[in-house]
Amino acid sequence: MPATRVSRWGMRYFAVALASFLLAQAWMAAGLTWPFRPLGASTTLVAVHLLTLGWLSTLMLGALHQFVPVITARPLGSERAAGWTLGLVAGGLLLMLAGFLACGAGAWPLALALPLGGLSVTAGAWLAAAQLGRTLASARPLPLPGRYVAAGLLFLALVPALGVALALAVAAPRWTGPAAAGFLFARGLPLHLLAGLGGWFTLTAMGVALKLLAMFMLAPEERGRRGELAFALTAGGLALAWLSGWGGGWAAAPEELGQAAAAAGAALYLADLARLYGQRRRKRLELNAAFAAWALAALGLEVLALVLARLAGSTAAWAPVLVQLVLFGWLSGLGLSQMIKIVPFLTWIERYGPLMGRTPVPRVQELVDEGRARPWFFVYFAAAATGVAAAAGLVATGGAAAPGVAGALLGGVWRAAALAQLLGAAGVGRELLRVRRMRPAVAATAPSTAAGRP
Amino acid sequence: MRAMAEEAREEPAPAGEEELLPRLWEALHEVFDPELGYNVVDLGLVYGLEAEGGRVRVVMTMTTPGCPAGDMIEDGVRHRLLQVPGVVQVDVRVVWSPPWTPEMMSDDAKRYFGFA
Repeated sequence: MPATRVSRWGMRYFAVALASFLLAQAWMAAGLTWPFRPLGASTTLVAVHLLTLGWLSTLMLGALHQFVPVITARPLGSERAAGWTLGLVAGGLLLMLAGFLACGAGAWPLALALPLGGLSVTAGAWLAAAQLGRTLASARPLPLPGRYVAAGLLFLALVPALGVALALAVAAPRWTGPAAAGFLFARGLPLHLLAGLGGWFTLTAMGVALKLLAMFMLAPEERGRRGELAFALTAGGLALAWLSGWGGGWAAAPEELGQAAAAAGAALYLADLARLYGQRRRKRLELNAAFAAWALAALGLEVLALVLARLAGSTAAWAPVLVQLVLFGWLSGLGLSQMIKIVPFLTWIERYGPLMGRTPVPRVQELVDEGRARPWFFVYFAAAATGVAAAAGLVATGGAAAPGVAGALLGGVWRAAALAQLLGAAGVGRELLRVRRMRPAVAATAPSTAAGRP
Repeated sequence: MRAMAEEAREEPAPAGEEELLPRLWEALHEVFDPELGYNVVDLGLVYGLEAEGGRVRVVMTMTTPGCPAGDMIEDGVRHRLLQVPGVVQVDVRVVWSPPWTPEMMSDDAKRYFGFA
């Protein structure tokens, strides 16, 4: 079996991702956007794409370049492609942000940076999907986490392409024409969100979480028929909902069926992950597994809220709350919690792996101070929950549409929560920076002690 | 399956096999899985250890086939054993059958992880 090696681009992906995350939250805390500002507002689009492209997509692409080889036990085809992907996505994001701001300022020639940036992001995403997809294809039949990731990559290929079409409709409406632009905004925008948040992010996160939690908690990765069914329902349901979403009236029934199947699949997945936590052999939860449970709880809340909103026929009204919960509770919560494990692990491999057996080296756990990092996670998750609760309060009281005293109060709570969330994430970021800079004193440590023989 | 890796040292073997094996096992206790933070012997990763005339053969596995630290653990085993006086050559063979499970850990390791 060929050796798998970590990508030397991993840390650069994570640095870009974390910087984007902090910037997006600073943007929110500064009052430049909030969930009830129209999605088309340029400042909202800046925050949304910093979060989805700069933070989540870059984080996931960086993680996949490390973990597709782990999932498949095969090396990636090209290190250079990983570098190109990062350059194309990060460069494209910068162009897009400039384009959004130019649109907001009415500087239309500069707004063409928006579709150009979108094309760059699309090229990066397709390159990553091709490279990672080829590695996955070479390892068929794929284990369950690999199938989640493969399905996520299919959606990754769709999301930016649709985004470019939307960008053209915004930046160059004469080229697209009013009818096509109207169709794109009415149908394409919700499906862009569904493919991004549901397909690319959530399916990929589900697969990576399954593999990492099973591996790190010493729990069985084989999930049996329940696990297979959860995947088939979630991925199949999302695909059905996305495809039939283009059809309009005649396709409403299959679209609803797809949404219901995806919700049922996600619920089954969560039940199975709860079982996996129960089956773990490593009884003391490390920080990543402990706070991954909080993120998974946020996914559970998201599924419940989606079903209730759908039954009440008020999905559109609650959409800002639902998006906030999935972005900050589930996806960002999971991403942040796994970084506190992945960054020390990659640092160990890079710095200490080649010294193993020659000289005493520290364990991965010795590179991170969990006691110091834990409070920042509490701050982050508590702030994210408060922000979601404040947004929900704004919808429930009508304060989002017509701000009164209650609305102003809840709006203030939302801003304060955004600031606290930024502090929590920055605190975790500082701990990650410490990991990178730490040089544990192991030279004087006896090898038997370093070998973890308590 | 990974090809057998070999390295040689010039020193002659001063010890008999009976004396060498306990020292080899002791040395392997100093190589660990970096993520689990426990030595490869008590984790049950070492399936076999033989010594003959200063030549050592190790058959071992990893906790998961795609483990990114796999190469480093394998190299760590080789380099640590080459430091044992009397060892002139180390062959490390990584196998995937039988697949490793946590039940292969020693009682000490099981207690450490909390499932003894």
